[in-house]
Amino acid sequence: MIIAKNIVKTVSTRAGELHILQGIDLHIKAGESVAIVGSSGSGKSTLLALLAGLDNPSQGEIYLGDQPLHAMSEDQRALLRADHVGFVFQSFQLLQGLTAMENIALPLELTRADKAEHLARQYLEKVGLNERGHHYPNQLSGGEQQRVAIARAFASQPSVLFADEPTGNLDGETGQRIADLLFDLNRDEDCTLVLVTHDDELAARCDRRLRMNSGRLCEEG
Amino acid sequence: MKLALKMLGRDWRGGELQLLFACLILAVATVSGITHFSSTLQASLLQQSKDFLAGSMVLSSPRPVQSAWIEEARERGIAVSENVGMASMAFANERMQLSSLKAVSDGYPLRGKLRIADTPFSAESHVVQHGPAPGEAWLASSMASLLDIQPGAVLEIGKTTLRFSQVLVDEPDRGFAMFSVGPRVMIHLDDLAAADLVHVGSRVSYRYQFDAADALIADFKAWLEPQLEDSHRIRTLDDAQPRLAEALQRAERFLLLAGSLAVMLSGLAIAMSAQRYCQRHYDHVAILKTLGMTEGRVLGLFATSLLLLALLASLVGGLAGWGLKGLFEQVFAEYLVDVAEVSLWRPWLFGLATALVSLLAFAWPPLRALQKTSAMAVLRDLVPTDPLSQGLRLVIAGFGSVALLMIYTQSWFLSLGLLGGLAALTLVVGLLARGVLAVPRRFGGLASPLGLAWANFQRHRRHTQLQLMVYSSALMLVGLLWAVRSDLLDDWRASLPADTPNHFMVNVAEYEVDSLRQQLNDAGVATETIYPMVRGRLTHINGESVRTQVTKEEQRSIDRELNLTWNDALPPKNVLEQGTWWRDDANDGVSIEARLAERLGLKMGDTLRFQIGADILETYIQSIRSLDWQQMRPNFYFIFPPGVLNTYPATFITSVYLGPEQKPLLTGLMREFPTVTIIEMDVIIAQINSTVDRVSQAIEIVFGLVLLATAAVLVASILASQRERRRDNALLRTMGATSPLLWRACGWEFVVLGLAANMIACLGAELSLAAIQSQLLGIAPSIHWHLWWVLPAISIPVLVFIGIASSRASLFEPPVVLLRDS
Repeated sequence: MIIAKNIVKTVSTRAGELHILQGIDLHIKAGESVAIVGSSGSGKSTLLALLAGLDNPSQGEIYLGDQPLHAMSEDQRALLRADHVGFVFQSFQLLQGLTAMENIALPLELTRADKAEHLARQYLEKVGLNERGHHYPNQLSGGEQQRVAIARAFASQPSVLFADEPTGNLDGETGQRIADLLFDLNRDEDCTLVLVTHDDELAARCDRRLRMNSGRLCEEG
Repeated sequence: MKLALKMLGRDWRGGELQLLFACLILAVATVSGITHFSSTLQASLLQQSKDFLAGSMVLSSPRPVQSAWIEEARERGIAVSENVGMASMAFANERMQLSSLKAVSDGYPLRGKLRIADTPFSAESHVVQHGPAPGEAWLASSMASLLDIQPGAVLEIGKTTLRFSQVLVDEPDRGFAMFSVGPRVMIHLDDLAAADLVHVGSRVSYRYQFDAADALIADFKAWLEPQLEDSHRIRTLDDAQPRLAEALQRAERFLLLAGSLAVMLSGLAIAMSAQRYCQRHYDHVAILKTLGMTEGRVLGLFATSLLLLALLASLVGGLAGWGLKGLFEQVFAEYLVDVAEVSLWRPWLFGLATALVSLLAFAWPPLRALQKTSAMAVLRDLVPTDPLSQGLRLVIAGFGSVALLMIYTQSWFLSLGLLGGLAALTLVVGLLARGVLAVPRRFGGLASPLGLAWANFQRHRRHTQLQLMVYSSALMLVGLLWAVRSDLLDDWRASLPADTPNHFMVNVAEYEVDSLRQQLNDAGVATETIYPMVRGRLTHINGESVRTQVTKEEQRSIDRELNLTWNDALPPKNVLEQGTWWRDDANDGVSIEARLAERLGLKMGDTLRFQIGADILETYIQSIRSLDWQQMRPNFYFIFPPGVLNTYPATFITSVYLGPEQKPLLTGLMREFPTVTIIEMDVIIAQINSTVDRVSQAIEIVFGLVLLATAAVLVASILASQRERRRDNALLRTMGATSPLLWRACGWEFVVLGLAANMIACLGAELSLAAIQSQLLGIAPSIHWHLWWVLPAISIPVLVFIGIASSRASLFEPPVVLLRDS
């Protein structure tokens, strides 16, 4: 469950204060999949970062489960992420110096090192890359890199998965396959999914769609 | 720890750590290699210096010392040898000759070696570690020549008859015998009793040499000193040979300086590669934080990784340093003596400490920035805000540098001086680089290599400034080291030019002066001034007895007969510090040597009373002279104007230079002037020259190491800009730039950088040199013109080569690979 109350995010620029988010209220139930859509610069990614505890709001309250993110320190939020949150990014964000297998094992090593290798292998298999575990990111195609990222996100068995334009860097067909994989795993793992995307088709596969417009959020049919 | 180990392995495989590791290894190897070798060298030189004493400590006395002292020394495990010196007549071949007799016990010399030959004035000689056996006598060549005997002959000393078995060429503690009365005859101590030469009132000098580990000697000295009488004198290395001690001190300072520069260069290389390592891990940390890693854990992870790396590097570097030291020793095998007391661990610990302090001072600040990387960087291209201000980072680096320098030099002046020089350099270079890059904005067309190179400078102005600073600093340090080395050697050589007088002639009677000068002139030997010497004692200062005027310590140095001389002109190498030289009137006083004046607290106009024989001479200080006591010339504390001392009985002294081919002249001179004592200083000068040569060769090797460290700095600085360079070149090649155009542009970039850096480096080096020369080395500042052309001539091609070699991947790889990587 994610609750956001009256979230405001303001940044200072030379031209004065810039209001990126203006009074966002949001309630996402456990196990629900929610898509946040909107044009570039509307504040989608900023909202995602706040909901995931990557950043702090200028104002307002955010709860992840029963944990008040807005009142936690950076380190407390990091520990919360380690236990409960998974991420998939548009630009994959794999560590270039690590193999596919090592990238998947990394978050596991942070929390349950004893099972890291076993679980990593299991998820590598789930995303269909068991033959490519020893390849480095630059030896993999974009689609394959995103599969590794998805495996990494689910391997730590999070309660919430945040995905920022997960198909944005991929061609249509590959993007479709990645979306299938994401939703299949999400269903299998029974976790909450918060998805930021431009892609209406992808958004349509979620339980709910929210639209960001100039820092404000409204529910779509 | 496990995760840190894994990350270390992964980073290693990913090629992130090699540069940092290589820099650390180089630092540790250089530092431990230099430290170890210089320790060995210094210990070796120290040991050879002990040879000058023929032991670690010498006790001299006009009478035999208490046998309990000798027994105490032996009980403490200290080796003791004894020798007795006196003037004695030697008879042979119906001739007699006054000799400087030395009777030595078994065990003599405890340190050093005796050099003997089979025939007088022979060019061939060999070394032995013992004195003559009972019944034998070893004679100096001049003695054999004066007595006109060859080895095998028999000679009489006192009531005993001995066989002349070997020619004595050199003895380790010969320095003490410089003003002896005649040529050397060495016999065994057992024969002295049989000769029956020592009676009540005989002028005999007893010398006891002690040798053991330094600590034992120090303890024994501390035990012995309170029991000594005024007539006893203890000598240790510190007061054995001032010239050698000074040379050693300079060599030590120089090696420290070279070591410090190597440390600074290594620190610079480590700072750059650590910065690069951290920059390349910003994304990594952002992802780790997104995945739930806390700041503390991030820091712990990277700090543990770097510490493990430092430990590993110090092991490998320590081994490399050990190999390097072995290489040194191989090169210097013939110069080094077995030195057991050099610690094996100390150099390695120095290396480890260097690696750790360097990491702490230079890698900690970028690591803190890395720790603060925001998790938001996974969504946006964010460069972390440095939690430490630029000023604080500089302060940390400054403290680290001082700590490193202090470990080596133990000198605040040297540490802060070097650091101050670098800080000033940074400031000046920053301003100069900004000026150089500001105008003109364009230099030729963009399609020309030089135009492209210039455009690169403009595009990456901040980085260019940084590179310029790095190259200038490194080149300045190399230039500095090189010039200081040249200065030291020049100074040493200048103080001992090839024609330095190497023979003293003393006890020349007044009636012999003219004929001696004539004989020397006829033989083509240039003579220095022949100075008269009158023996006199300084008794009163400003009407009060010297005993109440000066400290007990100083009394020892002047409470004896001093050699007073007179001369109409200021002797060569003497500099008038205060007062005037003779005005040729009756009011002329005396000229005193500056250091003595300082020690006795004397100033211009003070009155002095001398006792010369039964007469009293009152005078005043008219001038104060400084002079170099290291000069192999007759030097005097007091010089009077002509006409004051003429009425007193005087002997004369001079010094001359005799080349090896002129040595046989000595035989004729000794026959002609039997009362003149000739002191052969050439062997001592050869010993000093050999030490200087040894040190200079050591310096060359250390210099080579510093050059290597400089190369590492260059590579590190080039690699630091590699990422940008690859991306730019990929774009340029995509847009149609050919490989030759790019590598020519790259070449030009380094030529221009090299020229600018050399100009700045030479300027900085000259300024620092002036300070070092005057403050540290005590030599007059001078401009080093050779720096201005040799440094660029060597460094620019090297820079271009290293630059192109390090950039080759971005110059020749297909653009698609580059674009994908970048």
